[in-house]
Amino acid sequence: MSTTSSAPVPASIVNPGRFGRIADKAIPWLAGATVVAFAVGLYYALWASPEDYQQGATVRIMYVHVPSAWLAMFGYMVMTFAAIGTLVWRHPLADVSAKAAAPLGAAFTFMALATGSVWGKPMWGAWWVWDARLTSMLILFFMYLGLIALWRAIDEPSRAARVTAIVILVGVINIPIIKFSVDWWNTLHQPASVFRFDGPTIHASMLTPLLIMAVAFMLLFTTLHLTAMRTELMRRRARALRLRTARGSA
Amino acid sequence: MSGQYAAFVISAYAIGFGTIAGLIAWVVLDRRSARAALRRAERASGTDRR
Repeated sequence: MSTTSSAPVPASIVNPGRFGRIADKAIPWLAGATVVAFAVGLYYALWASPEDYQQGATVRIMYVHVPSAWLAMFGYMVMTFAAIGTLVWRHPLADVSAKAAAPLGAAFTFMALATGSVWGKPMWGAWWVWDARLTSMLILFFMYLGLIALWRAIDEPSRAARVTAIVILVGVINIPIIKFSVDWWNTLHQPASVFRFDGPTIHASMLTPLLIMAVAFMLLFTTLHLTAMRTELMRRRARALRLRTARGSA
Repeated sequence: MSGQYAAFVISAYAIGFGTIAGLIAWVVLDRRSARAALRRAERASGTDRR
């Protein structure tokens, strides 16, 4: 693979061997922190926080729905920065990061869609509406599935990395559409109530469990992403060894 | 948990944590499978360091 047109990358944590050693040390600590954050978050979400005066107990669905929706978009942004790393620096870890993030992003997007649907039935009277926010999230889910299929369809890893990186960068247009769909169109989905220029509009008694659950989801994503990256590195090393063995015996 | 919306809340949490459990299981099984494939490749190439 040619790197003549690429900018140099500092040989620190981005070295796959060093990354592996750091990840192996960090993963158990991250997993422990994830369990603790979920225990505290679930206590607040299911017992310590009040019911909403309009939504009743269904407000508790928000504590799994909203963090999963944030992670769905965060996963795609991780893939976007990794795609830039693949195309600009052609660093192998960038593609490994993007490929490992795709199934995680797909799972969190599915979770956001499914839990939102369960909330929608009692509150809107429908499991699904073709609202701009819901539709753009569904498109994100299909984009994740398409990218996973694309990686599997191309055998040669460096070619798969370039093709998927380009598709990821084209698809990132959907992220601001998801974020601002509730402002740009008349949607049944409520507007943003946490990340606003004038501050959150949620009462602290509900914002606290939401943010604790968001931290728990972020820790879970980081733990699984690092583990999936280690797995992908092992798979690529195995492939390189098989090719070397095949050439040696030919 | 009780009340008219209890079934919806329980369903949402079951879907959420069922998805998370599936994701964790897939990541762990995929890692085991990749490690086994790497060991096979190392044995075949003569670079097995065990």
